[in-house]
Amino acid sequence: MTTVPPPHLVKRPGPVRKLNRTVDERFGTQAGLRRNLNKVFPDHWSFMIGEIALYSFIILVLTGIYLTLFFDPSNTEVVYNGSYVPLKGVEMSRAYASTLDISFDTRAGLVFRQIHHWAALLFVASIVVHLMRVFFTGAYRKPREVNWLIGVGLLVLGILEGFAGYSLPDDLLSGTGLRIAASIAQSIPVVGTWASFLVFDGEWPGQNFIPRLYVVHILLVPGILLALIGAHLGILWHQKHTDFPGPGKTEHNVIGHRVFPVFAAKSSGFFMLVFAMLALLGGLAQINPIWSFGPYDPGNVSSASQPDWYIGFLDGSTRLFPPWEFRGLGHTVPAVFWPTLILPGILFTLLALYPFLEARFTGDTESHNLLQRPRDAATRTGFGAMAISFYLVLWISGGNDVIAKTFDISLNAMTWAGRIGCIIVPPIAYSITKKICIGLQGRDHEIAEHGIETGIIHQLPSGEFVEAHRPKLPPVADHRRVPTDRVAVGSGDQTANARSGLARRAGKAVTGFFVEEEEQGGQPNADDAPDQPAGTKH
Amino acid sequence: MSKQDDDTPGTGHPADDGGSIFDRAKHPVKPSGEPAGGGADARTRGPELKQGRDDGSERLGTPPHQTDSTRAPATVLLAEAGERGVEVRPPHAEEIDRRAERRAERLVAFWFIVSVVGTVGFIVTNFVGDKQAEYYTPCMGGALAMAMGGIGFGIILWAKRLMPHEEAVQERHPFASPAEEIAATEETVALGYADTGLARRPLVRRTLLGAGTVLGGLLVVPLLNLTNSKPGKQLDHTRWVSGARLVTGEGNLVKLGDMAIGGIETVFPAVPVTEANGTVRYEPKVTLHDKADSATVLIRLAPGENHPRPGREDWAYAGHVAYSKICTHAGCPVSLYEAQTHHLLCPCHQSVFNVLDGCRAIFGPASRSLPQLAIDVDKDGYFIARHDYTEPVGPAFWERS
Amino acid sequence: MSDMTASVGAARASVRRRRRSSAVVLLVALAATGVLWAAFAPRGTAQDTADANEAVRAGRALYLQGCSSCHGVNAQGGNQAPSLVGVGSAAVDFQVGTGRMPLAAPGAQAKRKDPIYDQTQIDQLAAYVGSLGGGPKKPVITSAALDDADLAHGGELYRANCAQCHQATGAGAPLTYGKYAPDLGKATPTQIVEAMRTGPESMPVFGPGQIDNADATAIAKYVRHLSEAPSAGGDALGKYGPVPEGLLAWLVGIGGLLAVCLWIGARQKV
Repeated sequence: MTTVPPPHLVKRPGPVRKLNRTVDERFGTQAGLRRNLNKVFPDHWSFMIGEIALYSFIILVLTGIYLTLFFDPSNTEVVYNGSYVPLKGVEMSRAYASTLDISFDTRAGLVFRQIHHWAALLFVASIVVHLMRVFFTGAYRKPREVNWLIGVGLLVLGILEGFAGYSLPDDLLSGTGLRIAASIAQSIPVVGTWASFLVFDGEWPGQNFIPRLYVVHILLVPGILLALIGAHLGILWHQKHTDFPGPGKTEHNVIGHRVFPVFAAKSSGFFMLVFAMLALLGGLAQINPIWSFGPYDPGNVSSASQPDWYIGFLDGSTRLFPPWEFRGLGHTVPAVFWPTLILPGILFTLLALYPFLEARFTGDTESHNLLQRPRDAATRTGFGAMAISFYLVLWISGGNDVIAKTFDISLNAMTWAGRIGCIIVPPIAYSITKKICIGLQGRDHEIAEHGIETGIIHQLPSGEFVEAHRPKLPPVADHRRVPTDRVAVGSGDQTANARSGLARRAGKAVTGFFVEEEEQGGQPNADDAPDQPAGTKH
Repeated sequence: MSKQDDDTPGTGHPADDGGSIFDRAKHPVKPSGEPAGGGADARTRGPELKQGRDDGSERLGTPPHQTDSTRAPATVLLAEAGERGVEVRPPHAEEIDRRAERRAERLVAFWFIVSVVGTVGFIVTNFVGDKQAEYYTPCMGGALAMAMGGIGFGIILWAKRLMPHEEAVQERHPFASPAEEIAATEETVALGYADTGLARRPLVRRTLLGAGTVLGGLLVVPLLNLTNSKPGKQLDHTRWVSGARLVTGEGNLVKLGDMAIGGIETVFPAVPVTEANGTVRYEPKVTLHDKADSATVLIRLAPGENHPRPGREDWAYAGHVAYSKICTHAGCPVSLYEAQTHHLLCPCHQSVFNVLDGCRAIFGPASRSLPQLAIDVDKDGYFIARHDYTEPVGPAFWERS
Repeated sequence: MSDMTASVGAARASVRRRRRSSAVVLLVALAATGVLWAAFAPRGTAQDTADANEAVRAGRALYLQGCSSCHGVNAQGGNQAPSLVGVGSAAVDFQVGTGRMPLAAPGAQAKRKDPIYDQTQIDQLAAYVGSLGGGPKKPVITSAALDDADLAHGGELYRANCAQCHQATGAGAPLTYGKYAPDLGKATPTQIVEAMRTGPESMPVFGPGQIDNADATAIAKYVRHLSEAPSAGGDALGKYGPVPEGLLAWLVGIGGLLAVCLWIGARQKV
């Protein structure tokens, strides 16, 4: 740690300082700016997964703007006369023709179109991974339930936005997807036909549907996404990030790097790397080659018509669901209604309500800033594994035709395997995961009580063999520890700083994972824990 | 106070180092804590992808629970409050540090230059490259990845190798406000509400509530304006009419004998139009909308293979049968026809229909048979529809019985 | 188990007996047809006829050696294999030329493999089976005809008639119970037209009344284009659409970025 000279006002400011003062005279930014520059973010790698989603979104906006400059969202029929020979003279909508033009006749068009599509896949995928991280570490617990809800909303909107984008080019694949979407809307009891007619403006394929979809895709949903992402980050910023328990970490502090400069540098570098990854994918791996699918024609279809991966689980559930159509009293509830609307409705509702359900069943009303390891919440981890395995069975079934063809399996066998699998795999996953977690907990207890096995065997005078155990050591940090504010303002502040600084923190320093065990036992009072460096008592 | 214990354990016990118990068994540590297997590397084990160079090794995948992964503070003693950190350095540390730093600087600069190369490459490819060439998009993507990735790697290496590492500690403050704050706020709102007089003036309150509710009705307007086309009976009918000829997507009218046994053809209605002079012509051009619900498959079976449903004995003609192409499940065109088993498979959700048995659904999520189109041959030898489908085609809906 | 085999064997034997009697009838009929054909068939030059006869004779020798164990000595078919009378030379050229016949092992569907006969032998076999009468003849597709064919029109026809099974990119797709529409990557233009005309296995027949020769050639041209044209925008990922795309997004995209996260989060020892 270097000493910092006491602050004094530089008399002849450089341009940066000048700008800072100009802004400050108008908005009074200094205290807030300093506070935010000094904000501490914990270092764990898994806390960066959410950033992938954020950066993918930014890249989606950037590439999306480029694409809107060339895309023509119109149903009007034209005869294609661009440079892609195999479609010359074919009738198609202007939306499709302009997508071909973006792909073949626009500089950097295809690469940005492909980056846009890859970024969409990665956006939803990283939201899912981030969600799993938050779920399995219990980061959604009080006081962060609202951010969990916003996150679930972002996931659902991300899926919708992706589907809208997939549907825009009006190629054979997207048209097939929309046809199914219209059937799903039509399947809703009582209001189904009206819903379908309102959304598509008439009987499928509707009148001028693409401009409508375009507004949803580039204005409505992205606007909501942007607002929700802002709220998500704002709440995160305000509530401070959670952290894993560790040396010196308590429920009442955050330890890590400050925003400026290290965290900001790493994050902006990471943004560049996410962009680089997407540029590589967009350049080297073809995605959604609409020119080989051809323009949409309601009489045509291609086999292996698949949605993008995030819709795959719904495609799978639809494939697996038995032909149960309810008829009676002159009305019908089609089979397609249950796996495409009811099932995701239940899944996303359960997901959204999980923090509240857990709080209710465990009776945990405390606020938590320290995370749990998955093993320490065995039931939750079991539920998570159950949900993931169920999702995976549906997801695999969504691509069961491609899998059947690739691995030479009967399609019908795949369907039946999925039908049986989605019922029996999740409970098995639950019980196995829970057992593993409890086993790992047992191992931790073992180490805590007897120390770590050294592999060294001693023979006692009695002839008995014993293995030597080494006591578990109290944890230590390996970096310089610094107070947050490098430059203290005023003497009064300085004492306050000292009071709330290291001296007090050290008093609260937590050692060992015993704190967590106490939390498990319903005694989540980390404050009282630190005075017993239990590991050293052996 | 236990602070001493927490902060200065560093002398004797280097390696209680995360990792599994198996790792520990493989690299036993003496009870004193010194690694028995030799090698100072005992403490850098763990999930490591990249062994360090001289300027320090990296630990990939910081274990989630750091209490279980004590690191040896061999070189750094933690700073006390208000004191400066005392660092115990090995001999020549200054020299080693300086060299490592210079190496790191060069590495960072290298990546920044990679980025410049990428950007230049992107711009050059963009303007000079041939848009239709196979190399164009991969080169653009690769160059952009260099441009972005160069800066990304450079910045991160800079942050990791050249910026000081720290453990900054920040207090968290409870979010709940003090009781008096809450009381004051609640009181403010209560007083304000009293000022409005809503509690005392039920007439104002009720009419406001009523007006607000009625105002909600405005939502219906934009919603219903989304379409001018009411569902009505639209879903019950298709473009097929009595006497409409069967025309292919290419615009060819289908004649008896055009198709071989085992053949399949997608057909649409060519609706008869009576001209002013009384002649009848058939409109071969089918719009997108008519295609969407009128698409029909015409299949020619070998004589005697078809098992017509009761009452539909004359709906086929000389082994030719016609069924709606729109799946009764989710509306995809069902058209994977297996000529040997006479199964029609839907590519979207894999419903299977048996053509010989009136296109009954025999596998997958579809529960209804494909509707059959009654066909005949007119005096010129062209296939015609006898009438429209007798039931709604395509996916089911609430109003359908 | 052995009981079952025995009873199945008995059933097969009775079927065989019946087949044999019908084969006799068929032979008589064939002989009569042959005599009539010989009487009324148009005469080519003497040399052509001699060549053709030679090919038929050689083809029959090959047939007896390689095919007769399943299809029967006189191509009348057996309980494992269909009759070849009336299938035409196009079917032989397609089945043997794509290596599907002779069948290695019975399965849901014959797989494409390297042909075991050379083209001369295949032509001789085709000539023999063709001489049994009926069926579509092996099409002749000249490179000039391919060059003249309308690629875009072929594409439209392909999407209307072929894509539902073989997929828009020609990569193939599964059918029910282990059958599948094969990948068209290796199919030659002649084989494509042969398959349309003869409808091998599960494939429907697309006769000249439905798709005339010019259109069929255009479709063949489009299919060749699908497998030969350079893929714009990088690797085509097996031409299987969103499934491999999703897999790549997860394995490379998410996997790679998680590795980057690990690297950034890794501690630099100071």
